Amino acid sequence: MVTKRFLFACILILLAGLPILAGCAGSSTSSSSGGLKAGPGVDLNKKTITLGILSPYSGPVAGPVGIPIANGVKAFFYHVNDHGGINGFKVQFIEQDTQYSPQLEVQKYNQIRNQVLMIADSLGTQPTFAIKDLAAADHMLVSAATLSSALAREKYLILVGTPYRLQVENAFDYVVNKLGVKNPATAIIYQNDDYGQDGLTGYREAVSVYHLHDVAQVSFAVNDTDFTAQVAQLKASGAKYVFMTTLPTATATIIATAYKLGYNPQWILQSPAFSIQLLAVPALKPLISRAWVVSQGAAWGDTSVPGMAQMLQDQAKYFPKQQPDGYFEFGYAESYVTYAILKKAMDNGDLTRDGLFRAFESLQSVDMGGLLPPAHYGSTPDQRVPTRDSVIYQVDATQPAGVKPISSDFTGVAAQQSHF
Amino acid sequence: MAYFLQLVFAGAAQGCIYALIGLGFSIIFKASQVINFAQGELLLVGTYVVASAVLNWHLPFLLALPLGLLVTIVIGLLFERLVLRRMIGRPPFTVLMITIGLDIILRTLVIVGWGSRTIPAATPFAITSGFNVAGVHLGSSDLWTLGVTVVLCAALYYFFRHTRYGLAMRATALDQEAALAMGIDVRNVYALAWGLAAAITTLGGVLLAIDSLAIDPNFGNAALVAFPAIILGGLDSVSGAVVGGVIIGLTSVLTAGYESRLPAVVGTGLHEVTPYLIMILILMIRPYGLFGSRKVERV
Repeated sequence: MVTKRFLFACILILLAGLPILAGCAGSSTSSSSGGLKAGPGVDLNKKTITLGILSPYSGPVAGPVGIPIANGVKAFFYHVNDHGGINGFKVQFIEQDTQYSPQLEVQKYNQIRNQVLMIADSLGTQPTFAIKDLAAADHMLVSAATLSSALAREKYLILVGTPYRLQVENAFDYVVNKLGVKNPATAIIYQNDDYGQDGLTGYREAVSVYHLHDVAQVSFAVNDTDFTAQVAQLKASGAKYVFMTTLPTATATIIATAYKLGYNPQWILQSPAFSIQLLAVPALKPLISRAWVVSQGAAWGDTSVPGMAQMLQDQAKYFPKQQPDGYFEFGYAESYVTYAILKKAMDNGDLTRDGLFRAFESLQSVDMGGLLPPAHYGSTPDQRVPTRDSVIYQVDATQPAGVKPISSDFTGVAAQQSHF
Repeated sequence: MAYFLQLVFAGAAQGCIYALIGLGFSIIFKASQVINFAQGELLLVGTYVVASAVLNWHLPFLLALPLGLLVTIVIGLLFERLVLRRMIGRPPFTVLMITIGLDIILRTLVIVGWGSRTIPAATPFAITSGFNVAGVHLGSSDLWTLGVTVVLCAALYYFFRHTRYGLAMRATALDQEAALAMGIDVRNVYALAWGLAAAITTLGGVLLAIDSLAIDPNFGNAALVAFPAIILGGLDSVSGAVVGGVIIGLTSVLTAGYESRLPAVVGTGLHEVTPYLIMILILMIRPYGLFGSRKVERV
């Protein structure tokens, strides 16, 4: 006899299986038309290419990072579509909210894996690394919105920009070789996770190459709310230059605590440590305005680089409410690489995932309109680090994005030598 | 020595904040045997309201603070009245899951209302306000935190010992059925506990935000750090929450201040686990915490 409980269990199983069935329905094996081989996510009849975006659209990371980057990616391809597409193919997206959670990232990836040709944007080191083995098994290229050095060792993950580790090395190259400070007393304060460890690795390499007088390496937990102990250590160490591998809220508290304790070193911020929102904190504004940020690329509104005017036009047209934001710019710049891969694969007549991978490995160089320096790609981990240069910016509340460059674009000695 | 004293001062101030947050947990648990996992988000909402009142509506801090307290008190009372009152007699696990639901709802409301970006916190002090004694900086915000905690503890002591409602709460905590038989309105006691806990936790959050300068929707996670404090103090002990908070604050800051002198294998991140190590150690010796009530059952 069929019980209610049994029926309920059957319904549950069916419901659980629906996403899998939906995924299978969307899957397609390779097909070809007019000499063009096509893989999942490519519709040769409708001439569309479907790409995935795995990004936080809700939760704390969504507003400051996830949504601006995704908007940048979409603005780039909306422009491409409005100008005829890629050899007549229009690009469309399946967007999934990962909430910056590795578990959700895996779940969402599995939902769309048979419906997309590649992932055009995957935000965050830990979420992206959660899908790396799945992506490798699917031969799926993933454009990652993170600058973790570890990406270089994964052949299906695309790194766009100079890794965190090299940012630290370039920052101290600036101090030693550009400013001419010999054996400066230096320290690092870093959060105790993968991101912080990447910064710490770069710091240790910089200490060795530039003969820095390393006086403190101080860590904190992501959930820490009081930094008196860490700042007291930095103060006691006498560090004159302190590198911060932190996130914006911790940056604010650390700098304020140091000021309270009468400690005012030269703060150097890893790119994610700064947010223009920090300049909205009245008490912090004068303190953080002394800080440097190590990052790269053109400052928002710098129309001396060829890609800026187009990006600003596209932002105004497709996302008029988007404020000046380095993360939007990153997403837009990231898409130059995705576009180059798709274009090359199409020119090769192979829009399958393996075709995309071959196109990626043979890209050599991608011009990103000056928004980021030209990226270079190859097949070894060292070659998968696309750029090794940085720009040092001064925090400046008068600038649209809150920073202005104080150095040219350069690659330090340590960054040139680093192996991945 | 100045270095050590600076850490002790910071640790004591930090501990007082944990104590205030922990008091919120303890008061609710003592009255209703419910562990309120939404305590962190009550703190979050209150802190955001105070920040908005000061920065957007341009209210003075001393008006904004009661407004923030009022909002969280109302949330606490409504939750108790509309949801928890219907759950009396249900399994504790069900009630616990409901508080987790409230936690998620409140955090989502904050993100919808204020966005997920970092925003400035409200502060009545300049960053450097305070004074220096023998090389130790005594910041105004930390001094206020210590002062507020001491005054609040004294007020709570008086409330529980010498007021009608305080005695009613103690009686209800001791034996709910006997309290009912003595004519105590247990429902009002629950409501009072939720309102009181929401206000005290919010106060802790606002004091914490003054030091942080900036807040984001993760700010409510601070309540998680207070959790070992109330466990080691004794979950149903108000005085235990205070002592536990100060112990956790002091050990956490002192460990963070000296861990770099230890070999990296042991030292890195040691302050993150110290509160839990102490909690385990104390629970091994006193399973109900330092001041927790020992449950005796007749079999």
